[in-house]
Amino acid sequence: MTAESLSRPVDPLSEAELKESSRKVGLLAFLSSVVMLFATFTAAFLVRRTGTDWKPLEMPEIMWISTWLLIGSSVTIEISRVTGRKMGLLVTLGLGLAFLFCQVKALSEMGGFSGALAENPHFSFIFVLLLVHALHLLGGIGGLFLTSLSSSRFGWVVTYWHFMGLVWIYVLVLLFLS
Amino acid sequence: MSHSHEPTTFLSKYVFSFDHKVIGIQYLITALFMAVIGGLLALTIRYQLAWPSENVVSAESYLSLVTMHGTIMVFFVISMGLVSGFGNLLIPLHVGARDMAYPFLNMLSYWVMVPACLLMIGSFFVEGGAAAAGWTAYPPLSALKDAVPGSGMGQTLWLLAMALFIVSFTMGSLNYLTTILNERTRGMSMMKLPLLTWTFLISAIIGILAFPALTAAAVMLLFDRHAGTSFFLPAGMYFEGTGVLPNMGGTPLLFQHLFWFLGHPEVYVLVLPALGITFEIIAAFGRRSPFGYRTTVYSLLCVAFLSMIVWGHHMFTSGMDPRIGEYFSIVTVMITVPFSVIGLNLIGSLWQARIRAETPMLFALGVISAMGMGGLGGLYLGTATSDMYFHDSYFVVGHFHLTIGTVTFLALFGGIYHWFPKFIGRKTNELLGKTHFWLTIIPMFAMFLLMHLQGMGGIHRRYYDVTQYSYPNASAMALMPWISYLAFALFAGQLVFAFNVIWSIFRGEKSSENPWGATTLEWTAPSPAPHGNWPDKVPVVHRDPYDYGSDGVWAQNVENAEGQA
Ligand code: HEM
Ligand SMILES: [Cu+2]
Repeated sequence: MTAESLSRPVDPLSEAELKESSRKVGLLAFLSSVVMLFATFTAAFLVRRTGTDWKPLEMPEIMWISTWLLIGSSVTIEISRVTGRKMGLLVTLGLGLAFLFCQVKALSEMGGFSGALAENPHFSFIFVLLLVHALHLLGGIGGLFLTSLSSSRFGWVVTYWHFMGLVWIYVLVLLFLS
Repeated sequence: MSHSHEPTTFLSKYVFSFDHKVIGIQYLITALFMAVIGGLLALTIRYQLAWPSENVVSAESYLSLVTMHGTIMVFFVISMGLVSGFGNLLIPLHVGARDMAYPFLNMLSYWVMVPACLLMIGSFFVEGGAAAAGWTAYPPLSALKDAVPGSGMGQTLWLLAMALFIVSFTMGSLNYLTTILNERTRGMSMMKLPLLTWTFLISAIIGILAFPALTAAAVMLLFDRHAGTSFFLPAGMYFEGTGVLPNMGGTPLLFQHLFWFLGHPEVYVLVLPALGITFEIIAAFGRRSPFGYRTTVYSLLCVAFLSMIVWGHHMFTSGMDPRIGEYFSIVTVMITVPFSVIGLNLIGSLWQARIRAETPMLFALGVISAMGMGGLGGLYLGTATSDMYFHDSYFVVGHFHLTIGTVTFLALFGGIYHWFPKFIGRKTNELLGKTHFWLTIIPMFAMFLLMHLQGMGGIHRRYYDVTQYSYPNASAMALMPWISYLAFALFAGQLVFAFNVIWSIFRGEKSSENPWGATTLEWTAPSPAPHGNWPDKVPVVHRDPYDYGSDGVWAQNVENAEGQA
């Protein structure tokens, strides 16, 4: 969507072009909604952190692994997009699943869905944010799967995947390094 | 586009339809159905308030009634009816598109809304009854499963239903936004959009940006409820029998901030489309272009932005720092500037208008007066000093019923009468319509204005038996049964509407393409508009949306005599 399309003096785009540009607008709007979701959690985190019962936790080692997995998956999806080979999407999908596995492992090492969750507010936030991020990533995994099956272009999934990678790095910094 | 393959089976045509008009009507019918439920809840509330000694409900279930009435009316009637209902019906027709940008997503959003409604209604029948923490769902009532009976299963279902609602509403908003920004026909620049579609765009933006705050709050609330966390629960809460709860360090105020970050913008999601409908109606029935198109658009954008930074005016009494309170007061009162511009433009549009006082126009005039009076009350509530007294009183109840209750309901009715011919192909009955108008506006205004007085007299909201307190003013108390009589009269008056609509579907006078002589694009499509909206090419836009010139009235797709745009 450009300033030109906002004023619509020109002939409408072809149907395929219109579909493509509508997809971009819709995706951008959806991503803004995701930004607002994580912004809200951020606000809550910053407020809650000032509580007297706050006990900061160290970042578990395994989260380095998961982070590298996700960064790697962004590389593979980019290679796949540039070369146009859909095989790369399945590799990305595999890396995404490995990421989720590491996340589950990290959470269970830290205490999982047990007393720890209730006792340490920092862990409560870690749990909730990892969960919310993982759910969004699952949407991306579904998208990867469908895109690898279909014969059409790559569509929204590449942008979305990069975006969820960035969100993860943001979450990591917020939770442990801020 | 989907234009080419028209659905043929009953399921694909009427149930899982991708057609924005069918989906719009599905939403409207669902919203009207929910309105009956919300209305019956209101009547029960009014009965209890007027005759508390009869104890028609218990104190606990009174809280459930109030909570569910508020939730249903705000989200499942007005948001759904005005935004999802009229938005679906009109956006593609207004911008000159054959359908929404994502028809499948559109169908999905309706079918996510249905289970949301069912869960909401179903929550009345679970153990402990429906949620009882108010439509605002403040913790600790909403966060502790044992606080009151409604805090149990009922509250869980409330949260799930709201989650589904948000998912559905977000899908809808993405569709409206993309369709308006990107699927406009040739010549339809943003500044040629009908004002109603501008308000839909702004509602969509608000929906996309503000609802996530409630989603996040609901997720944390679910964890507080089911995993024992303390996001919103402070230390030292005490239950008889259980003793002091183990929670530490959380803060219920955090929830209030997150809730109202959505909650305040949400009232603009309700009110702006109502004003948009009013602009469309007074243009067609006043036979002139609404005053100040551009200033209206800029003011709408200003309102949308300001609406996101004023939420604290709901929390003046929460113990916030008075300097923060002062900030929220100032920005709140600042909103009155763009809002007054919109209001004055509405009134200015009547200047030198050639008014035809048919049913839709009566409702539109009703909206303008309700907005004027309701807005006045807002000044007292937006000012921290006076809100200290009015907070949580019937003054507030009267205020928001005039604004998000009366303004929106009048617009909903006006819109139905106005676009009925377009989507059904027949007109509604004028005499019945006018009767319905007077039977609606008189009790509504009387009831909600009297509630303001009750609030000044010290009557508190959400109390199930105010006679147990000695401090309210006696004459304010004496109004109780009268307001209830008015509420019953209002409800009875709606039977005229129901009869009119059902009768007109079958027997109404057949309508032409453009029965009101209006100028926006939907009136260039046949009545009822077919699948794909225009049987042949989509119209090309040459004119401003309201070209009621001295030389004649021109629809947006009419070229000039000279052939220039
Ligand atoms: C049609 C006639 C209506 C009547 C007679 C009515 C009556 C009432 C009354 C008496 C209360 C306050 C109960 C209390 O505080 O104890 C209430 C609350 C409320 N009403 Fe209505 N109402 C009506 C329509 C609407 C509409 C159209 C809306 C639309 C937005 C609405 C939204 C609300 C909300 C948000 C609350 C607050 C709920 C809470 O405190 O959590 N009502 N209503
Ligand atoms: Cu507000």
